[in-house]
Amino acid sequence: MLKYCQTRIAKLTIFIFIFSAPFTGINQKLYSDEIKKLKIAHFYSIKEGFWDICTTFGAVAAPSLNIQFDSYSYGKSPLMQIEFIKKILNDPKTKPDGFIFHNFKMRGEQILKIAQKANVPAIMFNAGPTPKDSFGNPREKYPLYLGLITPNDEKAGYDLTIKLISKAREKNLQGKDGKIHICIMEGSRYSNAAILRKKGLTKALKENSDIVVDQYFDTNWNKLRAKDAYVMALKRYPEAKVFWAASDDMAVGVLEQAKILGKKPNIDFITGGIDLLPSIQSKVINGDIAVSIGAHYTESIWALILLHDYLHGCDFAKESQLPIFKSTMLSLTSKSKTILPISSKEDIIKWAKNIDFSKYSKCKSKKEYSFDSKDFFKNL
Amino acid sequence: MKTHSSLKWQILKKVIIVHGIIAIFLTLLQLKLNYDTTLNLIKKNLTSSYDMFGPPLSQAFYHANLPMLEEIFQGILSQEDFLGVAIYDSLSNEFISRGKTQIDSNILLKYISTEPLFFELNDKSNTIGYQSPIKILIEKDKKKYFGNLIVFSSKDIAFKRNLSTVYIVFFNSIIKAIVLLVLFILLFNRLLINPLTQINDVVSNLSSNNIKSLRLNLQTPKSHELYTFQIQFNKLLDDLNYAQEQERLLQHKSKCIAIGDMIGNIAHQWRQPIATVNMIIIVLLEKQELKTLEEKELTEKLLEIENQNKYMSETIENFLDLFKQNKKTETFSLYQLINSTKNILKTKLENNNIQLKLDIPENITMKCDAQNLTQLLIIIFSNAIDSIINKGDEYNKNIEVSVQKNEKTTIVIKDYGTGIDKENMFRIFEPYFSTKHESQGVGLGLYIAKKLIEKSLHGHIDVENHPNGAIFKITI
Repeated sequence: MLKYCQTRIAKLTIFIFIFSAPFTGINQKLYSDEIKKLKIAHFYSIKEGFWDICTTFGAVAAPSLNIQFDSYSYGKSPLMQIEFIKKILNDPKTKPDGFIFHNFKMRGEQILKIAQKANVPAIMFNAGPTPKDSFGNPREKYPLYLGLITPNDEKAGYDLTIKLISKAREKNLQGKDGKIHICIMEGSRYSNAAILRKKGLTKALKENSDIVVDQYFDTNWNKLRAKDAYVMALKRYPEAKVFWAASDDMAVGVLEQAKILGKKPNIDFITGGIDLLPSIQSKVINGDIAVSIGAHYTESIWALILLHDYLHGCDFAKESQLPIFKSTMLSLTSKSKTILPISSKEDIIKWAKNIDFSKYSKCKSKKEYSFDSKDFFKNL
Repeated sequence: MKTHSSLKWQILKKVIIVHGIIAIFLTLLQLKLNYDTTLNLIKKNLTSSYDMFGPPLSQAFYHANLPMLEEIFQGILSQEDFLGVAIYDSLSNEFISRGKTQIDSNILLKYISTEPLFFELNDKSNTIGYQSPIKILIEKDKKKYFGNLIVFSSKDIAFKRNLSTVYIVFFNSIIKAIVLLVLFILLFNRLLINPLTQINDVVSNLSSNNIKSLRLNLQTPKSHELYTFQIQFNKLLDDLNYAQEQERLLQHKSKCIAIGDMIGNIAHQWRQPIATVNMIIIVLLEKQELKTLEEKELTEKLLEIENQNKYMSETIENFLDLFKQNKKTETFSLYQLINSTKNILKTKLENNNIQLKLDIPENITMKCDAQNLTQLLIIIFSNAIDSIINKGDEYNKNIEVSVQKNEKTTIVIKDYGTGIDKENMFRIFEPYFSTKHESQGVGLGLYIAKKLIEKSLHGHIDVENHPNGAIFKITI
């Protein structure tokens, strides 16, 4: 009887396992190394600075995850972005199994609508919804909006401010009034990352009463704009010595322009930004850039892993939690003891050759996701 | 008609000149108005520049978005009237200028204010400018002044723009003036020239005898001044017609009187020969009855009757000559004419023992209507005779006739009658005025005399008193 029951239970289990599999997800399949390669697309604005590094990380991680990684840059125009993504998702030749993207200029909802219509799942990362967006949480209004990974931008903004103030005090860069005068190079006002970083900045400023913000420059992530703003700031606010930049790119802009004008870092000014791009590492180490916080470009790898797992039947969503994740950011100053093992795109390719990113997959390793860059950089 | 055309063209000529002046004046006025309007439009564009470009420009400038700043500059300078644009950064005390008009920053600083201000530069370029403060929203409900937007234009733009339209404006004014002129001509013709032509036609026909048929019918509205004129004029025509009727009646009466006088004179002339013939007949009848009539005496008496008959016939002839209708201008001996007139009045003169003395050279000739002059002289002489008779002075019953010959001929008739009272001196030529007894006249003699001398003989008659009577002077 027991044997009979065991046989019946085993048969029922096999039956349920076989027939329930197609109903767990749109393209969800049982994980197996033999399953055909996934086709994942990454949509981003311009292939420069942060996004260039970000998509490079995705590209180097893809092979070990058995993913065909198609990287698409749609340019600066939000309108072009929509048309471009629609075309890719609706063309059978280019249609991916899933895609990763960021909420560029608050067009996230439109992209999610297209994804829903094209029946392609997506993960949003890096730049999440702004307070003005209304597309809701993942798996709610748009079921194929699978998850959201964003860095702790507010903390990054806060940390950057604190470290810059600390450095300014160290270098005695106070103005004649004894206060530290600071100029802010903002990101886009329609970017949640920029909003949150500014929020962190404001929090830090409130904690330090000897700080005077001379001006917030709406530099829109733009290096050239940051350069112009620095020139203007120099004329308008001779007392301003600290230049807070919402991105490394803009901090480099300030640095380059300052050097052109004969200004010396740590004497005439200090600057710092967010992103911790590989290329900036040397500038931080030699003291030209006071601080850089970031390395969250590795979020592209985490997004790929999540999508990989989902499409292979290992859904990362837990019943009790929303599929919203925060990645941790690294901080680098000239005093940092450890540095990133990469300083260029070539370094990234070399570095990635020795890493099997599939081991970060929950399907394979059964470990929880850490969303920490340190996990990838072994020597940190 | 020619007079009217002349008047018409004179008025038209003046109207054309006035219209020309008005056209030029209107052109200048229009150009001035256009210039002011264009300048105001330019000023309005300048003042509204901040509304158009201020917000993005202030954002771009404040945030050092230089590419956008340049785009906005280009946008401002692409405006037709804007020649230059400058931005003043109060934080760095610097100017950024673009465009043709670049003003020295030291000059511009004079006009920088935190309040909007329109200004004109007192230089040859006729530059006008408008500066408005740029304020940026730093925090919620908190704006910060950090600079000024200054835009430039020039009065020359308004001038040049209007200069290009001067021909159109002038042509427009000319067209308007021509249209007005045509309308004026039409109205002028309808309201003034046509009525004037009609009035002229009526007035030129006034000399004709048919005033009764003349009537002014201008067909103007009752409110028109010419309508009042028409009524007054037609009333005048009625008066003239009445006067003409009266004149005609008077002439008829005068003629009747003249005929009466003639018959009276004939009667005077015939009384004596008829009485003589009667006497001869009575004598002849008595002698025949007594059988004492000899053949020779009969022949003599018959010849005498024939003579008396002949005299009477001549008298008739003389009077008939006087009233002949085919009167004409001719040259005649004045002496003979006055002597003939004297013969007509011979009986009246002789019956009253009045001497008509002629002091006239026989060789004086005159050229005029002799019959009318004779009729005139008869009237004057008859009046003189009546006046002498009325006076009743038995010692001086003379009428003296003399002639003064200069450029014109003056016949002076001096009588020794009653003379003319001073108060009647100016009335004696009026019709129906007479100082004589009703049985002697109706007061038309001297009136007829005046008409004859003025209308037929084209001369004039004067009268004055001398201590013993009156002097009539007929100048022809």
